[in-house]
Amino acid sequence: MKKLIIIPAYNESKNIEYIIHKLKKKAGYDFIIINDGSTDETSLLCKKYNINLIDLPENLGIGGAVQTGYKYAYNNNYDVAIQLDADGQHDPDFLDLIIKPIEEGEADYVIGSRFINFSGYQSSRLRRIGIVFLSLLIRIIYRKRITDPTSGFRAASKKTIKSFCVNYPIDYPEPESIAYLLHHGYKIKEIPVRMEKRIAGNSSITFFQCIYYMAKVSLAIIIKSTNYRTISKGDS
Amino acid sequence: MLNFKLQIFLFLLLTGNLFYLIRLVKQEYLDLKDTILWFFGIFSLILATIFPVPFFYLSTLLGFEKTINMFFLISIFILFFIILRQTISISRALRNNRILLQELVLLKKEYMDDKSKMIN
Repeated sequence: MKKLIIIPAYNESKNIEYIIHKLKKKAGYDFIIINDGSTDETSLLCKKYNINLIDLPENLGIGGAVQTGYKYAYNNNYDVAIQLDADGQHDPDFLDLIIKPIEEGEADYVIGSRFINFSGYQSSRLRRIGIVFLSLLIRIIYRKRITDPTSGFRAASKKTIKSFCVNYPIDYPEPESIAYLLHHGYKIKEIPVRMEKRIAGNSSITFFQCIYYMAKVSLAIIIKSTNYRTISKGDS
Repeated sequence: MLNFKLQIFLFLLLTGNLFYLIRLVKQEYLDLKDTILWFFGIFSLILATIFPVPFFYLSTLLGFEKTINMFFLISIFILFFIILRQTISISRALRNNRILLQELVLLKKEYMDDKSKMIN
């Protein structure tokens, strides 16, 4: 099985070396860093270590960068694509665990959840409230329990990679992509992972963006369900 | 009812706008398909300026206190749809731009990989 790790990076020069060193020790996985138009040394550092790199000349946002990675995975015939944050939050030791359900044909998409075993960094209280709300919304609409819909530590099967090449949300894509897959009948599984606090810098979502984030993501989850249902009815 | 002087003034203003719009299309600053709503809006207002009486009766029938309020409301709706159309165009342009950029970087990556393989 060909396995690719996709690491979207925007101004992560303080964290990228750490993740590069950790991933270099991991055998059996290829990895690619998608530099999303960073204005710092991210690209230079990747070149210094001779890392597989795609340099986006403009900032496309997290969704656009990750989708570029999925397109690369599809073009190069990878069987599994794992998404990993560049800020050191995700422990590469869980890579084998996260792809296991895909290898065994149990799932099309696997999410690493920090809220199953509740170990490691649990995020801020405000974010946890948001996560519970989104989790509830997904459960009501799609009848599926997703404990950590905002987790960026995910693995996608070949079928899911192909689908993401055509349709992947652009900003704040994590919960929306789950809604999209659930609506299309993809099998999603969560496995417990341990997450760390980011090494340096601030998260891409600040306190003041929380309201916008919640409104946008909730609306996206709701609209996706109604919209796609109508289309699929028409298709059948 | 509209004052005659105001009628003349509005007619000249709207006709001027209409010719400006035609000139923009002719000079290819604008695509005709993007200006249909603008033409519709200006034509409706010109019509209302030349023949205000039916609009007066219509506004009374619809319960407007003053005919001008109906004009304002219609204008707001037309502007709303024009802005909505523009938002659609911007979304589409951004989407196309993203797809093009992704294709470009992927091709560039493939080219650079092939080149380094050939050198080695």
